[in-house]
Amino acid sequence: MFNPRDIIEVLANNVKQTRSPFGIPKFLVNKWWQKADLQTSGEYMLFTGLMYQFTPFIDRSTHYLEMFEDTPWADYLKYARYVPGYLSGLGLAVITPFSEKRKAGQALVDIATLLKKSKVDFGYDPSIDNYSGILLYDMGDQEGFVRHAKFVAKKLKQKGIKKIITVDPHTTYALKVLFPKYAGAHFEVKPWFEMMRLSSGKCNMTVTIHDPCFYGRYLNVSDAPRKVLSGLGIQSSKIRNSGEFTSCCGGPAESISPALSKTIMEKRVEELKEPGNPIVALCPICLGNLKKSGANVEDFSALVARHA
Amino acid sequence: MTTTIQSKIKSWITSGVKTGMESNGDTLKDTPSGSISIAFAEELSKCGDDTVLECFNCGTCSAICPLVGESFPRKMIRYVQIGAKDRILDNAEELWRCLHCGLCTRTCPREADPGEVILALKRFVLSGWRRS
Repeated sequence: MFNPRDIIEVLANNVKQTRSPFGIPKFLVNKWWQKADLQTSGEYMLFTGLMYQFTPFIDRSTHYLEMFEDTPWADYLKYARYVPGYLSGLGLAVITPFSEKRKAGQALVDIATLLKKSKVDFGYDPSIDNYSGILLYDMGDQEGFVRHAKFVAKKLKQKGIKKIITVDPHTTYALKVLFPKYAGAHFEVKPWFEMMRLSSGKCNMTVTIHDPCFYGRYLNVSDAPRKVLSGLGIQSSKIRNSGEFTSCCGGPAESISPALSKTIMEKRVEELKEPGNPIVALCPICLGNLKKSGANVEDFSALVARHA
Repeated sequence: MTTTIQSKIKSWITSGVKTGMESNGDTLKDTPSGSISIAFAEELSKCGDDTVLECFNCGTCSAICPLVGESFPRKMIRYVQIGAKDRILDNAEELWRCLHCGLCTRTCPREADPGEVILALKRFVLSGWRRS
């Protein structure tokens, strides 16, 4: 386990200096929309919170954290907070494989395509699509989270945004629950799968859904993705811990203790593998972590896009 | 409010862990394990938690927690209730093992919101680290 303070201060300083927990400038992270042919405004604003875009950088940084956890080198992490955010961010951007960065945006392309198919009037404006700050909240840096949340909310309010479509559970929870409470910002927030109006399909397959904690328990929206699948003729297998009582994938611990994260993930993967069906994740953090097991797991958006 | 919380805590302390303690105003000295801070639950409420005294220590949170086997988060909640601030600070890093998955909060029969207690403790400890 790393000293939590060392990790928190690096993330907090990066968010303060660069608006990104990894210090990577947004123009290097958020490129998926460039080939997506999207209008910039609409009844709803698509807001990604950059979580999908961050996944290759999370993978790369946790790869190094895994190497140094519980070694004498771990102590040197305390000096990382003194490295300017953009500098460490550029370094991380350079060592992260291009192919991984390109793949990370595919889920967003799929989601945008599915929203169009569902005839949703939405736009996407990359200038107001920012990281929500949720990691600071989870880590206990309340002051840093509130400061950042107010910045993000102000950008949205300046553009007159009232209705938002989100793509991941962490950003959804932040915008729906935490922003009203701590940043005084109230938006109508809907996860993308609640907007699906797809023509019915006749697939004959069964998958196992891994409900993320924030969708399943905190926001109680586990039924919606199942309805989308059943509309396409895709069944979801029953497992012991799902919906409101879903089990954690271990992802939240990956910065503080990759070893702990792996232990929790392995337990969850055993549960998910039990029915013997392909596993589907609805969160980029869960997806990245479950994939480390080598299990057959894909993003929910990829499955729906393939069969819609 | 403060008086109610303090009287609740005092009654817990006197009924549960009074052996070896000496009263000194708001602080009770317990030689082997550090000082007891009676107003700690009140102090923690400034970090966003006001439910910790609802807990009656049934252990459901520890049984359901993915970190099973470590008496987490029950141990930390009990420390808050009895004002064992030093014990929390001595084991502060453990707080960040919490996955914030919310299973403890969902299953708590007393609606003591153990997940929020841990989050409040993280805020409390972090602000202390930053002041030091």
